[in-house]
Amino acid sequence: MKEIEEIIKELLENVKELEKLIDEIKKPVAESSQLIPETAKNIQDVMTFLENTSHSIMNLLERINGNSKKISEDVDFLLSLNPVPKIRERLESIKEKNEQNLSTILELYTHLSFHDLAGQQLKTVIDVLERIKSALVDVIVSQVTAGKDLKEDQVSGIKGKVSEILSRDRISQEDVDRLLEEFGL
Amino acid sequence: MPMPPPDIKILVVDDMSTMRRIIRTILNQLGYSNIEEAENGKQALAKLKSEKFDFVITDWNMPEMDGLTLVKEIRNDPELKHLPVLMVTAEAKKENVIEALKAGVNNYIVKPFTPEVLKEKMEKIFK
Repeated sequence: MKEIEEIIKELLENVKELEKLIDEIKKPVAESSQLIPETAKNIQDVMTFLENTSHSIMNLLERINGNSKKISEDVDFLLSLNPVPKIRERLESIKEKNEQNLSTILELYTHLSFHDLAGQQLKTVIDVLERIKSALVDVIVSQVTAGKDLKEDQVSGIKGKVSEILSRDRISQEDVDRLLEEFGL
Repeated sequence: MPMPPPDIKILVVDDMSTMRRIIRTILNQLGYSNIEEAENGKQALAKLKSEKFDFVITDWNMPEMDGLTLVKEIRNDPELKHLPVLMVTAEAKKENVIEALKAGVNNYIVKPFTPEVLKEKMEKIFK
């Protein structure tokens, strides 16, 4: 039992030491680590804005499309009444221009796929940011573990802890101190 | 070349809502209205296993399950393996096209595309 207590004490001391070390080197990287999620959020906001705007444009295009289809039906009705040649000529011209408009609306619609293409590029930027974060974790871990003879699983544990800290999902110093107190440290 | 009958049931798979809407509108314009949507391969596969579809139009890059995996899953399923699949994607490299063809897509469209291109590819698939 005493042996286990000693091991736990040692572990907690190590945790405290690790927290201290990370705090020392955290400051210079804190700004960049904060910028990563902020930037990713900004990009996500841009993507949402693009999506909403694209849908608004599509709604307007659909309204124009609906009107053009109604015009087309009305012109067809007027043509069916056998109008005099001069009026028929005008009506046929309106019909032709209206069909061109319908085709242009569809063309505009398909150009809105720019949102999808831009979105894919922005997703790539978010992936790059994630990779930078991962590299940042490696830098911190290599500083924390420098000159120490640590096993692979210990390094991996430290890496997880640093990653937690960068994600701001860490236990507080108070929690660590409370635990240490319980073991009389 | 004849187009497939207008009553065929089509599944459009894309994680971008705008892209799904564009494809749906073009299909409507071409005379197709029996269209359903899925946001990724996983969702699409679940739909394909619970309802009968005649044609799938899928994107490549999607979360959860990408289009390429979806095609492979379709080709490995005895009930779905003959389902025609058209890939509509921004991936425009030669190796991408080859990879998609090897996975079993029936045709391939690079975004952005025109209604004429979609019509032409559908005609080829259903000839």
